[in-house]
Amino acid sequence: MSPTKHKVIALISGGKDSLFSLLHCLTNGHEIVALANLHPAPSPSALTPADTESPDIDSYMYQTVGHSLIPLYQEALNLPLYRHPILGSARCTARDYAPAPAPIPISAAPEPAPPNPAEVEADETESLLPLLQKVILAHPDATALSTGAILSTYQRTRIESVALRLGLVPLAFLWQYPYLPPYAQTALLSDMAAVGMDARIIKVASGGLDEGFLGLDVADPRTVARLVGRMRRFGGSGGGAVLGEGGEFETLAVRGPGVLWKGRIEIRETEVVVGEGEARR
Amino acid sequence: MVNFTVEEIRALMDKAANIRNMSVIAHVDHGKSTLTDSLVQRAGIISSAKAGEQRFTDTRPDEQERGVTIKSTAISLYASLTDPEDMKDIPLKVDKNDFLINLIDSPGHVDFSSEVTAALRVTDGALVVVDTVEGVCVQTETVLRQALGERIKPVVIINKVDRALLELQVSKEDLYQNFSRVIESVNVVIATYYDKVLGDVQVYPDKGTIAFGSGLHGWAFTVRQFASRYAKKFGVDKNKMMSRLWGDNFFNPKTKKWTKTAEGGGERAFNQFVLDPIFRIFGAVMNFKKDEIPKLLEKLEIKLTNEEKDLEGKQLLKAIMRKFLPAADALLEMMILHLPSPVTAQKYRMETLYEGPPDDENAIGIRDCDPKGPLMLYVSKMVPTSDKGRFYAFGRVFSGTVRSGLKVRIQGPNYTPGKKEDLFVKAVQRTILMMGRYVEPIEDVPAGNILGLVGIDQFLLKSGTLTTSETAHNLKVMKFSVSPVVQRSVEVKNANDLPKLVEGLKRLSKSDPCVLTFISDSGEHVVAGAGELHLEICLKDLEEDHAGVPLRISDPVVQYRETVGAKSSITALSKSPNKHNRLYMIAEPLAEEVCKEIEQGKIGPRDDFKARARILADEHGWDVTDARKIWCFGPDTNGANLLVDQTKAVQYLNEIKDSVVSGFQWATKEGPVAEEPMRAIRFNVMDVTLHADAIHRGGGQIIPTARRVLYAAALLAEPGLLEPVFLVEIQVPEQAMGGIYGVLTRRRGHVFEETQRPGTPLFNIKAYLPVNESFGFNADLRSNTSGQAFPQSVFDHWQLLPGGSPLDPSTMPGKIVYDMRKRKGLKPDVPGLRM
Repeated sequence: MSPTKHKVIALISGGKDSLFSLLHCLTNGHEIVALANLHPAPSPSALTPADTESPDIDSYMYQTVGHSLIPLYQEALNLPLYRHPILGSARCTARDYAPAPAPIPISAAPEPAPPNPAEVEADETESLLPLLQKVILAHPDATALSTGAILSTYQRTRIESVALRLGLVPLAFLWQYPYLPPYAQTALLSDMAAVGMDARIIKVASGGLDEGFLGLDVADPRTVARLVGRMRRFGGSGGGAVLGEGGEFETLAVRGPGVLWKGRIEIRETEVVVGEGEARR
Repeated sequence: MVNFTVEEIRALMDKAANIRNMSVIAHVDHGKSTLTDSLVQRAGIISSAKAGEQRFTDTRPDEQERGVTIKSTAISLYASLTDPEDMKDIPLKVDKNDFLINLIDSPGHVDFSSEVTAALRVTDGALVVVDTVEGVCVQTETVLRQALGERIKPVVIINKVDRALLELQVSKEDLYQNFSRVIESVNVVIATYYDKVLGDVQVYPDKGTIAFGSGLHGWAFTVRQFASRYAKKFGVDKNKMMSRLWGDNFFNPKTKKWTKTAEGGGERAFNQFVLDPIFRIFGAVMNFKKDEIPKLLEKLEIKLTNEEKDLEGKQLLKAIMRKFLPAADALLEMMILHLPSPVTAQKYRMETLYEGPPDDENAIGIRDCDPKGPLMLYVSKMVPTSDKGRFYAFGRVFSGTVRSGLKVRIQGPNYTPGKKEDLFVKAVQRTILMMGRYVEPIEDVPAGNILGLVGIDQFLLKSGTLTTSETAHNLKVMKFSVSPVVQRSVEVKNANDLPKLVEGLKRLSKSDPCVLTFISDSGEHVVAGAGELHLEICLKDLEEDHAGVPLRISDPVVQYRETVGAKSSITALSKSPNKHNRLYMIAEPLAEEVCKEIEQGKIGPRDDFKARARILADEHGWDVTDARKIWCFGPDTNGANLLVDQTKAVQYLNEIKDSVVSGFQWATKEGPVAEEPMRAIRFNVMDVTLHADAIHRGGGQIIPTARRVLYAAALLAEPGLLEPVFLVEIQVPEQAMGGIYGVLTRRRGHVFEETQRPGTPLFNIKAYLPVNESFGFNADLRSNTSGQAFPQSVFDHWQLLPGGSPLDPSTMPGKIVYDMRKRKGLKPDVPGLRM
């Protein structure tokens, strides 16, 4: 039996994991038909959402830092990109996700009065639904959805919830990566380096990581060694912390193997923004 | 000539009932080392002519030079009781007349009292030396308290009686009164620290637990000795005689009647029978009554050699008294009869020594002092060897037998049973006997003995437990009565020497139980000690010995503590870096009594939490539920700050507990104001909201968050600085007192007690003096009192630095904080709440 060949919609955040998993899709014989991305809702003052970087919203689900650069992937990977704003925030914070039940029609239950839709804000997960519906409309032959989840059950269950509702097969090639042979926490990073992928650290949010890490290539063995060293002082490098899976850091992939990457992203100017909270030694 | 061999000592080691492990403890300059000499002389190691001058146990050149003991020194001595009568009085029956005395001479200066702690741990009895003239001083009290805390039985010698006779020219009755005052004050101290298990250990001359003598002249006596003499002479019962030779017992030589009062011409028996012969010898010799001396000698059955007969004055006195009442006899008798053997002592010391359950095989081995039990050995300190950089591990076998080549588990102070941290399994290279300035190799050493070990030093920092049992818990870590509050930073003059300095600091830290060496945030190498003198000695050792390179040393700097003055005005909140976790905390002051008990080890992280909660609730008014939910102590898991869980029904709380505790340890070690350690703060975890998925609340997220919320809570609770304060005891003649008050006032000190020593023009002044103002205090004091005042300073307590908030740079605390931050290479302003 030959394995099913899927036509894959790629959820990308710009991060190393979402783009690295695309390489896995290609290696396994699947075809990528479109890129999909969620960006923070534009703040009312911003004129055009795409070219102004609205503040990082520290979402539970999505990497939003660097979202203004996402349109560049359209060119770099030579694939169509579809985007949608994130509406709502994390309403359901349990580890496993179930969508809020659809509002019951008034006729069926006259009492109590239906909640005002403005008050009941949808969970940020639900923003995926219109995005993917938009992609499916343009690419009716799409059959699967690729994500870069590695260890976060929280993120995986949410993606699965949406994908299954739309009849897409959720693909997560990086799932449990550190616990597969060769059983190394940093195996993912060394594999990225091996295929020549370059992803820069663009946000740090963890004890042990400071400004000095910004702009470094996360797959560079020297960076990996520094990450492991710093993380050891904070409960060890286990549990995906060196991969940034707990939100320790976020990356932006800028270059990769030609099979996927038709061009590369060049960073010309940078600016460091210090948010609330300190990053120290 | 050494009059015993290693073989003899080794044979005695098997008879635990014939062993006495004892330390000599006292206030500085009360004559410990000098007295020890007379014992060493009895063992034949130094010539009797030198005894009292050589200070055999002061092995270091600077000890000899300064005339002050710096390091404790151990020596094994062989002794026998000559009088078969004495054997009957030994509490625990022995079949042989030979005894092994393991003696440790310890320093008296307060700055070195950590050495005393280390010495006390390995001994069962203590010879407390008290100066007749000076009486019980601050350090006498400290060492007695330490001894009783370790359940060590004291005997006392009242030393320097020759001074009272020669310099003060007191009468017999005055001397008796003086003795009883000193004894009374010793007993007051002993009674204060009464321990049920140890029982009443107050000392009484008529029980034979007190000796009187002169270490310098090499003579001493106990009432018991005189009682034996007279018992034979008059044919009375010895014990009856003993009770009559002390206290209000008067004998009228005319009527030959004993009375309870001096009425009717009776003279106090002690004066008449004990002091009289001594006074007569002194009188005859010092007044050069040449003709009286031979008569006296004949009467007292003292035979002098022809050379000795030609001596005059003090030399002759020394020779006669030494023949008449040899100090070694009195001391040995007192030790053998009244100090416990390891067999007796370990029965009641086991529970204070062993951390594990009192019924496991190791505890039973210790209790029974069983040479066949599992090995339990405590290393109390490291002694430098002639081989540079190597140390003998000095300690005591409490159970089992240790021999060269034995494979042992080396458990450091942080070892917990079942885990592999702080644990090494290594072979003992050699076992040795410590003989003052020499060592003697010995094949094996059974339970109850003190010894040195070769080849252990690389695996232990300063102290630890050696065992052969895999289930063994640690022997309790020693608690020191002093803390390293004074620090100086050091740097090499020559950049190339840096590796030598680093290595030297390591060695220094090993060689002294109390010294602390670390690298500050600004990259300086810091050495912290108990006081100015301690630090001076340590740095001298470092420069000349451990590192051996020229050093530049900064001015001394005081360690402060950060604390809070009130409850946090609002609940502090901090979000994790990924913003998905929130911690809510409140800081409030922790009562001083609780802090003291934590610092003394009465309340500790290893206590049973229910028992601890009971103590906190009953004695300190805590809510029992709160008291049961203490997460940890900090800094270093045993400091006087507490983290208390007050949350209600929070999911996943236990999964982040370790991370919060780590953050707490970090925060309490380096507080928000000036990165000084915190003290006396209770932090309450009020609420916690957490990301549902464990991957999003790892250590990297929670540890820094916990630290920040603790900082914020502390800053919201009226932060303050605590400064260390010395208790200074000064002895001074009346006319020089004015100078003392002047010096103290200039240095923010104040006198709180002033007593005249009865019968002398000396005053005893007790004062509090901030450590920060104590640098150069001794020199200042001497110049203001023409050298007549002798201060002793010991760390006593922490006090709030007055003058306003440390956050305001215009106040005095604010200025200190500013300077401290600058020195440490931090931003000069205290970070705000939104750091």
